[in-house]
Order: sequence, then C-alpha cells, then structure tokens
Amino acid sequence: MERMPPHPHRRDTVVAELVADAHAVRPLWPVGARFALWMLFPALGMALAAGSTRMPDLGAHLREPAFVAQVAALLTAALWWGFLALRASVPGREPRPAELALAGLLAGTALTLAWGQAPETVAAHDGSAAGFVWSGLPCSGYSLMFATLPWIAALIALRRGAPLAPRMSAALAGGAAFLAAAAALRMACPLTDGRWHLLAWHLLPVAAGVAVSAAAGAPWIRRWRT
Amino acid sequence: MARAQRGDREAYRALLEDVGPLIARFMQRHVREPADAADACQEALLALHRARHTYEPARPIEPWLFAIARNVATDFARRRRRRALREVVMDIIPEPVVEPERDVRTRFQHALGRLPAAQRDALVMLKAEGLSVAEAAARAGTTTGALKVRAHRAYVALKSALGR
Repeated sequence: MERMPPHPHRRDTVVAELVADAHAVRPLWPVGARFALWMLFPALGMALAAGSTRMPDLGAHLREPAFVAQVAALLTAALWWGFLALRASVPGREPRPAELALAGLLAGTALTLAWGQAPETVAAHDGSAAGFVWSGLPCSGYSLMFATLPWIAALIALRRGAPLAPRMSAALAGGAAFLAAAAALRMACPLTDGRWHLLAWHLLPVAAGVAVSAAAGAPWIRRWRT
Repeated sequence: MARAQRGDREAYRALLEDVGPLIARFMQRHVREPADAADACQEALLALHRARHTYEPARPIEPWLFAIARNVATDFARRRRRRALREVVMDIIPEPVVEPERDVRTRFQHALGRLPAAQRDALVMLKAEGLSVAEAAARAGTTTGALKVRAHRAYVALKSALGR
C-alpha cells in the first residue's frame, strides 16, 4: 500500500520557495478572545433595542420569566452559532456533527418559544395584506440594522482566519447575527400584529440571513486560499 | 510552528521537511492519480503556508495539518469528478490483461478508494502506518472510540468487497 512519495524534488522546490517567503505573521487571536470581542456587537444591538423600544412596558416584560426565556433562548442560540463560526476559521476546529445538531436544536427551541408566546390577535392594522406589510417594514429594517454589525464582524474574523468550510462558516456567521437581531428585535417590537408578523418579520430574516450569508459570504472568506 | 510564525526560516524549513513526506503519503492515499497527488501535495504545502497564522501553539499540530491536507484532497477529488464528466467515453475499450495477483491488488485499491475518507484514514493509519489508536485519533481529530469504530467499519467493508 505504501509507495515512495511522488516527485520529492518538486516538493523540495516548493519548500524552498515557501521558506524564502516566510516572514513573521500575526497569529490569529485565540477563539475565546475573538468570541469575547464579537459578543460586544450583539450586546450593543440589545442595548440599542432596549433604548429604542416601541414596547411601552418593556420593564414589566423583563420581569416575566417566559419573555426572558424567549429572549435568552434566541441570544443563547446566536452566541453558540457565533462561537462555532469563529472557531471554524481555524483548520481542524470545524464544528462536529453533534455541535451542529446542538446549533439546530438551540435555534429550533428559540424559534418555537418565540412562536408559542406570540399573541394570536392582530391589533396593529386592519388585517389587509398592505397593512401587514406596512406594519412589518420597520421590523425588517430593525432586523437588518441589529444584524449588520455582528454579521460583518463575524465575516471579517472568518476572513482573517482560514476557514476550510467557507459556506458553512459563513452560514453560521449569518445565523448568529440574525438570531442576535431577532433577540434584540423581540425587545424592541411590541408585537401587536400577532404570530404572522413574528414569523414574517422577525424569524424569516434569520433563515434569509443564513442563506444570504452562505451564498455571498462564502466566496469572500474563501480568499485566504488564493 | 510557533517559531515559524515569528519568521524563523530555519525552523520553518525543518517543519516543512518533516511534514512534507507525511502530506505526500496522505495525498497518495486520497488522490489516486500520481500526477494529481504530487500537485495536491504542493497545493497543501501552499495552503499550510497561507494558513500558518491560524495555528495555535497550545494545540497539537496534526489535526490542524491534516485538516488542511484533507481539504485540499477533497478539492482535488471534486475537480477530478468534474473533469470526468467532460471526458469522452470510448466505444471500444481494449481488453486489459490482468494477472491474478495484480487483480487482487487492483480490487483492494478500488475497494479502499470507495471507503468513506474517515474510515480509509483510520484503517491506513492503524494498519499501514502503524500508529497507535491514540496517535491516529489525535491525527484525525477524534476520540479513540470513534476511531476504532471507523477502522472496524472499514475492515468489514473491505472484507465484504473482496469477498472474504
């Protein structure tokens, strides 16, 4: 089964060229340090959401265990997705199947909690499609606003590393950012438009963020190979 | 590697000379065409060079190194499949002359090539390279239990493919 390695002289030439090109490099920060820094962005989003909330009784909501559990579940999922994304920028430290399954489970739990606690009644508009869209547009804007910074920060951190599975890494980064945005949005939006508002304007952006990040972010972070 | 990250060329040369044959053997197992294997080996060294800032000195180098090599090998396999789709199929194929012993070896290599990469790696590291289960598990970046399962599955699949 074992044979001599092919063309050792060609390998020697490559080694000589690489050694000639070897200058000092700035090592990537440890995953924990990069993750701690990245967490500032979702935290900033949460602070912004709390400061600009359209909920008249956010303080009272924050004393309800069910509401807190809902926001905490979204945030926990966001942080786990973000951690896996940042760790995947180091070769050999890509998420294992069980870790990806946990990411799916956390996101699924968070989305189910949010769906389960959303009011079924619609109070914000006349029930027309135009009213539904009109009342949802501010939330989609907020979602994008809260997600942009953590998303870009995660992609820059990934690009600085060497992700071997760029599509998955970018998808995790997008998911992390939009889950964090959904957590922030839950504190900013009074959700007077019922469950379909939550689904269309709070939760679907998470799926869209994962898809767009995987498609658009992957080619950008793959450039470490060229 | 930590010294190489600081720009120590001699340390870097020593490292590349150490890992070069390991990567070459890895590519021989994963990339069937010898010419492709040599190219893949060079590409893996280049990828290692570009990713050297990501190595964490506190962690073992093997999972990092072989993750890069595996990724390059996967890229090569993908390219080969794409190339195969464009190849023209001949109407008449010359009859090959097959010696019985060579036939067994060919069947073995085909069966080995059809195994999932993780199982093939496990088997080769344990049986061909003579690594201990712990060493092989460290190189594959998995637990010893999982590595044993992979090797066992590979063994069963090979036995079944060779009809023994």
